[in-house]
Amino acid sequence: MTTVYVADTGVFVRCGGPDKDKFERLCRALQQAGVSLRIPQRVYEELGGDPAADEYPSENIPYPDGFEEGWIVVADELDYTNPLVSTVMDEARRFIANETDRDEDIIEKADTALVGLAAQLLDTGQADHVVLLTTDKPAGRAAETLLPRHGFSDCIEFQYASVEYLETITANEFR
Amino acid sequence: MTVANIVDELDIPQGTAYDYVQKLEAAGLVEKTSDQRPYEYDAESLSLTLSTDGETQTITPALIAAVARRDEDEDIDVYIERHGLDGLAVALEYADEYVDGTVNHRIAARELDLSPLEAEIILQALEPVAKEYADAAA
Repeated sequence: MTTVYVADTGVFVRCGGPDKDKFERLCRALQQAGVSLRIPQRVYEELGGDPAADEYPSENIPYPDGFEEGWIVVADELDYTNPLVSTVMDEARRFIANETDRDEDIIEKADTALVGLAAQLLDTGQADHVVLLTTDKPAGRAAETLLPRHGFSDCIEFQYASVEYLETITANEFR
Repeated sequence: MTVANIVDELDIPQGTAYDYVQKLEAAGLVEKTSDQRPYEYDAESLSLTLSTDGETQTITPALIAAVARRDEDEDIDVYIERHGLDGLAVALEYADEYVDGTVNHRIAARELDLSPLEAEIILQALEPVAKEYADAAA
């Protein structure tokens, strides 16, 4: 069985900090487990997209090291011509609008990209199990609710990237 | 709560604690609830509303707790420097929603005019406060 771990921006912000310590612990834990993290293009853009955020200690995220070491991989572009991807993203837009009590028009592709990537990985056979590591609860719930309706029951797991979860996988304090 | 409890909790000298409690009692913010020593005190629930230039801001206990964390959490300190206490108060409302799962950092970023990265940083920094005060309210 091929399990693919998809990570959202929040995972890396949790590991941010001037001393790289938390980030390195995450790296070690994943390498020991033989796991790499797939990130949507959107997350890659978010991580590098705001020079103004430099002042925040948690903005210090040495994610380029993860690319070099090979345990963070930018996922393929989303293929909107794939009917499953476009349908699931459309459904996710409505689902997230409903969860967040917002108008459907203001929900963007950025909000549904995680769900779309999970669908694409499953549909193309790159994964038969996807774990979504994210702090985006509306998107996580959308994935868990919608993908089983398209034949992917028991193939998707939403894992909230809490401090406690990261402490568990790295077996260490994570403050 | 007794003065001895406060001394233990805050690690301040007994004389100082008595002094604070007397001032709070005189201001009507705490009330003596026993007639025998050691006296017990109860805090009145407090709501502060500040109005300046037509803008009104309610100072909630959660907001006070969030501001107090700026000493230990530099992300909060930077956010206050950049967006002011008003900005922090609004971010805290989003943090409540973030904990409830009714917003994500991307929607918060668009509505607060921040980058998604900055939004996620402040939402994570405020998450413990939002959780603590949501539990307290529940």
